Amino acid sequence: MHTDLPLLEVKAIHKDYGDVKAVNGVSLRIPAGICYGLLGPNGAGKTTTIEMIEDILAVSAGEILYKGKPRNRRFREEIGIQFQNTELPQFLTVGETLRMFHGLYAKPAPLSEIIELCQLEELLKRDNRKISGGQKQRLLLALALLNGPELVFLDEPTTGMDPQARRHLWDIVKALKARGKTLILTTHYMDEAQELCDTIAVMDQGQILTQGSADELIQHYCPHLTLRLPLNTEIHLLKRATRHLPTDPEDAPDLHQWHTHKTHRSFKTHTLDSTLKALLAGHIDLSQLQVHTPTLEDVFLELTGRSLRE
Amino acid sequence: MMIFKRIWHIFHSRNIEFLRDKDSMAWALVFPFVILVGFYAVFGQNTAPPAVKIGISGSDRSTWMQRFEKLPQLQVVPFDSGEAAQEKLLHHRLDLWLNTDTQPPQYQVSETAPKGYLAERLGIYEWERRQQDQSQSPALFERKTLEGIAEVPYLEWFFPGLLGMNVMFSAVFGVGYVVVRYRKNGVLKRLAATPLSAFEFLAAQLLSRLFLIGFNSLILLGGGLLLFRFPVRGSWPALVLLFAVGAASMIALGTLVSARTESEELANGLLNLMTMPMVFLSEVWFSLEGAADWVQKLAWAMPLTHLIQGSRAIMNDGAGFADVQQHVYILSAMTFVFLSIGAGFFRWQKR
Repeated sequence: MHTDLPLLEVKAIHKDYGDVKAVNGVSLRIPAGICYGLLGPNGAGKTTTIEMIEDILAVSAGEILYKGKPRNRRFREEIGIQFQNTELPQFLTVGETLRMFHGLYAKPAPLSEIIELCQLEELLKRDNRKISGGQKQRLLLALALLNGPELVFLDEPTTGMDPQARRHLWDIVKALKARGKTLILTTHYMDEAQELCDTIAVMDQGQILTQGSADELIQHYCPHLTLRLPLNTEIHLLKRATRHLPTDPEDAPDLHQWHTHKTHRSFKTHTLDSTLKALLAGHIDLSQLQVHTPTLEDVFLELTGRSLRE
Repeated sequence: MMIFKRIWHIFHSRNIEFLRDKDSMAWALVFPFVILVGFYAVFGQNTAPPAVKIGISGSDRSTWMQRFEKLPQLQVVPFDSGEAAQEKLLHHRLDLWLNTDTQPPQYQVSETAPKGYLAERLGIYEWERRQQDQSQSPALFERKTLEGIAEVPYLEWFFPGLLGMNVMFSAVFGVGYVVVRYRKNGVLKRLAATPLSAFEFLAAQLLSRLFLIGFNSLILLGGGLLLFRFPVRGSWPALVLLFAVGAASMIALGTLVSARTESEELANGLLNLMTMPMVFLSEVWFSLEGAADWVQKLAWAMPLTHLIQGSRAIMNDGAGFADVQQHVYILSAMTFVFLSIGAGFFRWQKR
């Protein structure tokens, strides 16, 4: 049965710490079965937002509805949470930790399935304190899945991991998506958001600046490709070659304009084919040409004037 | 049923943690033996320690030592020099100093130290009184002892207090620190993401600590009974029940302190604030007979008072269930109230 009712609806939530507004009027509608990403730099308010949705932090104002109703005691039975920073009980093995948390749920998922999904078979007898960062993140993810949750929260799940361990965790998240789980993920890695999320909300300073799929955001905010040529390319030759490329009054003011930077010259265009033909016709040396395709990093830069890593 | 299942899983895991934490485990096992050894060293001769210490110096000290050693409640310490004895007196290491170089011998006491007056009464005045007795003056009073009447020897009176104090420290500090540490390192936050309630979590901590205290008290009680042959004159089951609810009430008190505390330093201060008044007012060391009414009422509100009064009634006076039921009810009510308030105010994570 088709329904327009989102699994989770967040209406203008705020979180204030004295005069500091950590979250300032965030609203979301998250349908079932998607991976929803909150992308933003450190301090943007992502973790505060997600922890209010998880019911770990109280909201200062606003409303959160799960399946159309305020969250109740059943909510904890139906969600799974992987926190950004958390410790595990000392002196327990991975297997004992899994069994302890497994025993806290009324209707837990089969433990063997979770162990297999998170690839923990080899670690079951190892002390919690003697596993690597990547292994610990997989264990924390397994703890979040023990009740077979409909909704899974992943807060910066790959922070501090090496590239191989990140890929490993991404594969598990993709497997969860394939099983129809709804995921809410925070990250400050644009490649992670782009790889995993169906919908991305870009956050900064406690607010959502925009949201949509990665393609939609890029198409909307950064529709142009950027060509780069070395500084030793004559600027008057470049200008002459591209002077007839068409522009529209609604286009960005710097479209089809050459800019000189410290290390290179750049040119924004939305017609790669025509631009390359014009440069070749002008006998420009294209052997060192670079074409930059826009990413979510560019979207963030466009929206805030700052880099995601700043 | 889910409540019991969740409590069981937390209880079980906490016990595993404790059993594998070799340092804590060793301390929990060794501590009762340390108490027993200390207790035996002080009370090994089955007599109470002397009430006062008197230092004697001077050329005639051996004569006066022989005289004073016959007096009760005195420990006599010889000194080669008067300066050394006076130095000890100045720092309250002695309660009275007798110099036998002068004629008549001179004694010196501190007027600010309460034991100075006592030493004067038990040493100097008692010696003078005995001298006067020899002059055949008629006695003003007739002296009788408790010999032949069912007297409770001092050590038997003291031992339940020692047991109770051991339970109190193990209960209040044990659970308090664990919960604060869990909050600091984020384990509590992880548990908060599950359906586990604060009451279930605290109840599991209480049961786990109770299990340990039972083990710990068994060593101390068994050692005490074997070494000193203390009799338990009343009901054993009543004694076990009383210790169980007494320990539970004090663990619950520890959960109150740890309900919101984030720092181990603050927790340490608060736990000391709770335990020190109990050490002084719950009749561990001395009776509150004759103390101000408000002091006795305050003591009545302390769980250790009920544990010690009840256990003394059973061990010393032969009481049974019916005689200590009031203490059991009060301790049970305290357990429930402390645990409920602790759960109500419980904070899963740091601010």
